[in-house]
Amino acid sequence: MNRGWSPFNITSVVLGFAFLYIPILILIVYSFNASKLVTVWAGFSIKWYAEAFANQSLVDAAWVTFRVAIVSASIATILGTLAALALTRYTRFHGRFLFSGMIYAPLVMPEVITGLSLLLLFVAIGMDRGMTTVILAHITFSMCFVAVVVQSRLVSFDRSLEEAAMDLGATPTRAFLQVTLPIIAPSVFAGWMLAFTLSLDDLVIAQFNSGPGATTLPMKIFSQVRLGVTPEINAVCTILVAVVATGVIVTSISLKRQELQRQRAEQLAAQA
Amino acid sequence: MKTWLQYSAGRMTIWLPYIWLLIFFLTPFLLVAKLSVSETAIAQPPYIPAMNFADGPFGWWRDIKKFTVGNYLFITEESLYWKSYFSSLWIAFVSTMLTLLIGYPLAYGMAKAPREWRPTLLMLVILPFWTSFLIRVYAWIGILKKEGLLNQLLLSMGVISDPLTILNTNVAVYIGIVYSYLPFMVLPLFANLEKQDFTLLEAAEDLGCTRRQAFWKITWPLSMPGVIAGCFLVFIPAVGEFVIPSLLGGSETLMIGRTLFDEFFANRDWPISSAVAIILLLILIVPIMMFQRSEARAREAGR
Amino acid sequence: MNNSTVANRRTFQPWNDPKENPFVEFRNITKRYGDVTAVDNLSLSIYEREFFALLGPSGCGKTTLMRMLAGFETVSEGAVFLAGEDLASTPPYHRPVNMMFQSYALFPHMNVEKNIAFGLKQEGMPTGEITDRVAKMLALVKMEEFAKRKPNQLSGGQKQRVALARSLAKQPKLLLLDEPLGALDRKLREETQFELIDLQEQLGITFMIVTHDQEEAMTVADRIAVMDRGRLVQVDPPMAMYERPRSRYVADFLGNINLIEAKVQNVSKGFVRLETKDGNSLLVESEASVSSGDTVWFAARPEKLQIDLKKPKSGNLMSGEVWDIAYLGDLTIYKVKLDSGEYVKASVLNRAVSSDRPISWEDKVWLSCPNDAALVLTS
Repeated sequence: MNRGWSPFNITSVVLGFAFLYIPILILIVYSFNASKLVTVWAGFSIKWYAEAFANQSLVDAAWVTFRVAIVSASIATILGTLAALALTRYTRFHGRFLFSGMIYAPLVMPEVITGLSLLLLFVAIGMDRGMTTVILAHITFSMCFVAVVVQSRLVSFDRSLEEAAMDLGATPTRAFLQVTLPIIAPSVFAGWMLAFTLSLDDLVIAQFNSGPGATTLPMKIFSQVRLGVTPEINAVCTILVAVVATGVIVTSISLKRQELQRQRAEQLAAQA
Repeated sequence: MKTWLQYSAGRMTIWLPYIWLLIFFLTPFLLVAKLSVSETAIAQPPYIPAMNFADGPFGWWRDIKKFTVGNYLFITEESLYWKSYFSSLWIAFVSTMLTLLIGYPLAYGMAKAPREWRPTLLMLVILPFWTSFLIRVYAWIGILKKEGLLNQLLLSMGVISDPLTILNTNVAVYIGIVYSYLPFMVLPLFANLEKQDFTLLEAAEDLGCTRRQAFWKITWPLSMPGVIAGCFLVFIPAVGEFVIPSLLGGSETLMIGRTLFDEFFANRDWPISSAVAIILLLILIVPIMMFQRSEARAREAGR
Repeated sequence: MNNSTVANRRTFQPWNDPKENPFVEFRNITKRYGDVTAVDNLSLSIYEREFFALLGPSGCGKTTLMRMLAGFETVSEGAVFLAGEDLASTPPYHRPVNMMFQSYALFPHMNVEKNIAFGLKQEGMPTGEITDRVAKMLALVKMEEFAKRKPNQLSGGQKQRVALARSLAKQPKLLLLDEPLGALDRKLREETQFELIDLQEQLGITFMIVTHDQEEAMTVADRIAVMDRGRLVQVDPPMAMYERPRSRYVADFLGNINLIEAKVQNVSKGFVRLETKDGNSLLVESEASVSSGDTVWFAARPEKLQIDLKKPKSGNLMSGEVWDIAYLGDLTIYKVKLDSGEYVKASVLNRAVSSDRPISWEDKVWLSCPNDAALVLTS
């Protein structure tokens, strides 16, 4: 029984979403501004996009960020999925308490501390800071996010499916690869997406652990922003927002379509 | 042989992530702890190691005797640090309350929305979370600065006659935190409010409550777990926030994340920054433990 | 229970007394949700101290009707009166009506005591009186030991009792019960039904219950209203409803009934003569307004049919072959295939303890019933 939306409810939802979206919309709109003054509208133009692409250091930073994000997200997804399996499947092993602590701690650890501590490690083992160190750092904190995402799916996973596979002769590894993994695949993919965007976003940890020649896009943006708002940065931000938003929307729509198809198939089956 | 292989394959699922985290999470963390008791030096790296693994057990003991609490003493004596801690906690607290004030009506409205709209509304709340944090904070600079859009709007409407100074003040930091962490508040609240049993409100009305009374006597106390979860999810990261105070805050905005960052990069004082980090963690452990306990209790009650 | 209440109960028929004013009156009520009409131009009167049951399948509008009385649904057309007053402008929290919810709707963050006291606190009753009233209510539902428990520490039956106590605490003039026993298992449900009757007599409050369980309605109610697709089909006391259903819908909804298509041959002095398809001639005592040539249904409940191996001398007779036998312990039900090919059920009470069956599969049998034990149904 829904007694409908009161005007108060509607107003608070509308205002809430306005608050969430208007700043980003303004940013996008002004990236098409012809004027160099970010706050004065002087007609439509895409010249800032052209300038952004002509700026070699920006393009380099974007390329570094992209490679870091792809590599770190992929490794973090593997490690995070394994960690999620360990957490849900092996409820008793030596050091489980420490293990789960290490999974959850990075989620609440201030970034400045994660960044600082990893830097100290790299210095202690004499590793030169560069793209590799940034990747290692990103894997470490994003694998914990992947682990949490995958774990929440595994908790509701019906283990009798895996047992049925083994009963039919599959080894545990095969049962996992052929039965469990396809079923939890959407959450593993969601974990990858999360790890990818976290890496794409990260400023603080990269700031600590990056070296010469491995400036990431957020570092580049940050150093430019400190000097003031420029339409060029607006353009770069708009591209980033567009890339991520497209990815997220396409993924969730395709997941939704799968879900709808499944529901329709179930309905048809029920009617038959 | 085959079973041994299978066994070790199973163990791999534990050992691979376990070892990774031991190397890249625990060890660095212990290094921070160690460094926080080392002495500062003008060198590269800029500290005198307090302990050397190659020294062997006796050497370690000698090293441990050389541990210094000087860095911690320095932090307690230097007003910049403890002011930063207090100011971080205060700013995080105020922002958390503001986020609750904005997030609760939003989550409530979403939970009351027609059922078929709710997944879309939920997705719209999560979507900004996927777009870059840095970009979202950056977007506010153009709005809040003196010749920014907010001042232009207010001036043209005649609400104010002189532009307001918002950027580079604590107000801008509040706005930035509320904006960045609003989804963290809305999600647990929405999850709670949506699954509340609507007939409880009807029962309360049947027993003589007006709608407003029914909200305060039924909905609000039942939404407490969501409120607590949301507040912690905003408060904990806000305390250690770096990007927001350094982009939106002013010179008087003291937040410990920013102080630590400056200490490390500008003053190159690694031992002091490590000690600052350790104290920050100790401060955060209290709310984190409280959060864990309330979550555990909520799970217990849900069972 | 003293003798006077028993005597009262025997003669309790306010609906037949033209001097009685209805306590609750639905006057030409219509309720629409968009294009769907949930309640369709319905009028109904309920009298003080009555235990009234609304019976029907899910989606027939019975719950909507009750919720309009509680104030949770508005009326599209028509008006609802309580003790002669139009309720239209009274919000739920000002109506002297309380409701027991199907889900019980116990407040999970309050203990039993606080749940029961909730309505009294809203009234602003002094604390001392609240304590007394709560204690009385707990005693009434025999839940004194559980006063400090939270709802999630109670069993289904205990929750049901707390919900009942909470809705009675304000001493409403009218108690609404929405499928109150739906969540209980069968045994507990039967016990609780009798407790509800006792409670209603003891308190002298008007009860209105919504249920889809015909046995429950028959057990507790003074009168039953059967609903179908937003309309009232029949309103009668349980016995009249069962013995004299006015339509095939009611006859079929309440208990089992055999329906055999037949043609009216002639009508005279309260008797109707019918002829079935296979030529059997049946005489039924009936006031039904039918005329010769009409197609009607001969209706007889299984327990009204006598089953014999030898042809009885008189009565309405039909012959057939035993097709199935279901032994239920207290009853045995015979499914008989008539010569016309139709199936008819007859039930026999198993009085004697015997292992051998006098009637067995594929036996040729005769079914008979007296003239006044069957019905003629037209719709």
